[in-house]
Amino acid sequence: MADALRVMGLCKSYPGFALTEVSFSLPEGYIMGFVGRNGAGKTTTIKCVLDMLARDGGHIEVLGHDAIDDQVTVKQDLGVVFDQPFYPPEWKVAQVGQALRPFYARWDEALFHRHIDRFGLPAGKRVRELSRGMGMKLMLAAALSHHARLLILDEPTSGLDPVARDDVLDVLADLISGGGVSVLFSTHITADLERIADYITFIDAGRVVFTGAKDDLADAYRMIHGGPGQATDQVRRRAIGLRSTEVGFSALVRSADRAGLPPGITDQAPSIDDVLIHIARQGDAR
Amino acid sequence: MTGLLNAIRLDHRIMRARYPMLLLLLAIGVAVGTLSASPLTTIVLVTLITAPIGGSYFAVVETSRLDHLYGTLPLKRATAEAGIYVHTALLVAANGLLAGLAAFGIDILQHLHVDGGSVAVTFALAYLGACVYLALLYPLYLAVPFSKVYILTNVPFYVVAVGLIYVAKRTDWLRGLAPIADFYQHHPGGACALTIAAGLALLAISWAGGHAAANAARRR
Repeated sequence: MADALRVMGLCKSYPGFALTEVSFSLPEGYIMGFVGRNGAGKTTTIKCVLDMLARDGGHIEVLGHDAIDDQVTVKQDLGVVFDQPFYPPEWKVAQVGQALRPFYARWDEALFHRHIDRFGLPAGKRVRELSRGMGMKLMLAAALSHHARLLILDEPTSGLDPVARDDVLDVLADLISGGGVSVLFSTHITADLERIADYITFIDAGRVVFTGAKDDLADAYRMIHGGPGQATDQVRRRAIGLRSTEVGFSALVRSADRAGLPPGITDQAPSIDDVLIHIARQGDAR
Repeated sequence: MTGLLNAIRLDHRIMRARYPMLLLLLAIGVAVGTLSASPLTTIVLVTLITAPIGGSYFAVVETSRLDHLYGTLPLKRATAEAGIYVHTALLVAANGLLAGLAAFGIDILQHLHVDGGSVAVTFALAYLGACVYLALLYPLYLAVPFSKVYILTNVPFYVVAVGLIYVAKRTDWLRGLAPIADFYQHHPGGACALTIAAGLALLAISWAGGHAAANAARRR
């Protein structure tokens, strides 16, 4: 299976933050959730993919092309949505299409208008007059109107109310059901991913903690729970992000570590949120 | 070439909302030229001040997060940067030429008998001045957020301009420029072409420097 996006050993450092050897790959036709808390390195990674930031090291391929050296070719196939519209506020919705059209060999003006109709975006409304959800949909309409094969969505649902969020996710799910489009969906709202993602890459403090199929994430870890006296040293050594209260404890453990734990400790499959929270907490405790 | 044309067209769309400011500037220039009975002042004023208005492009880019737009477009970074230079150079030229036409109008209405050579030379020198301004500041604006450097970078220009006017009025150093003035007087066509070419050459050098500065900023 060919990869839509392959990031290999990506490094980028700022004062106080570094992306370290970030590697993951997204197979064509699938949705990957790119998860991590704010400041984990998701946007920095995406900006390196788009060459908005120069990488310090590593290699990035999009649809088989070098993402940096062949970026003009690559970006013909790339649709991008950020967390806020990136068009001049005085542009009207229809003018966004007119402005972008000359850059894309496969720009489809009729498709752009179909999308803005479907999303309920008034063609004559100015960008500054759009609600946050409408702004997202405008970026999505633009990203979809040149028949992009890879969509990169950077926190597209953050700051949206639940209804608008659901709307955006519906649109994405519809899109993918058509086939042929791959999506890298960066978010810290993991509930979105439980619904639509096939793969998960989890990044924390600039390092990839997990990358693979969503089901493998649930298989790789277990959530354990026990009473107050059960958080023994043996448990603590294996626990990731242990949380103790007067009534007991909960923690994440690697599935391989589950077997050796004392009897009486219960376990269950973790949600993506469980994994994110406990691994992040473990990182903070270090 | 298509990429450059697309970039210029995009910059035009981005700046279109600011074009009324250029017309306002033209009106102010005409008013000043008429009241002072000096049509050449109109040309100098309008041509020079169009440059910072063109530079306000970077303010729009910053406030509207247009770096994200450029980051998504299939457009080489160097081409996008060249587009910014060419677009501003065209704006300055267009507004300067309109000011030149207005200067002829003032001349006719006020019977001042300013010759065409003087109008052309004034435009060319003002255009060179605008190019110097753009050539010095655009590499900075490409590398550093506009809001952080705008005041700091513009103040020296105003200080130097006021200083030059003061020194020119108090001393006779302008006489040292007489041979150059003679050249402009006797060969206005050639002198204008050379002056404008020098301005454009400065912009080309500045574009290369700006590209390097912007790349260095992306590596930080």
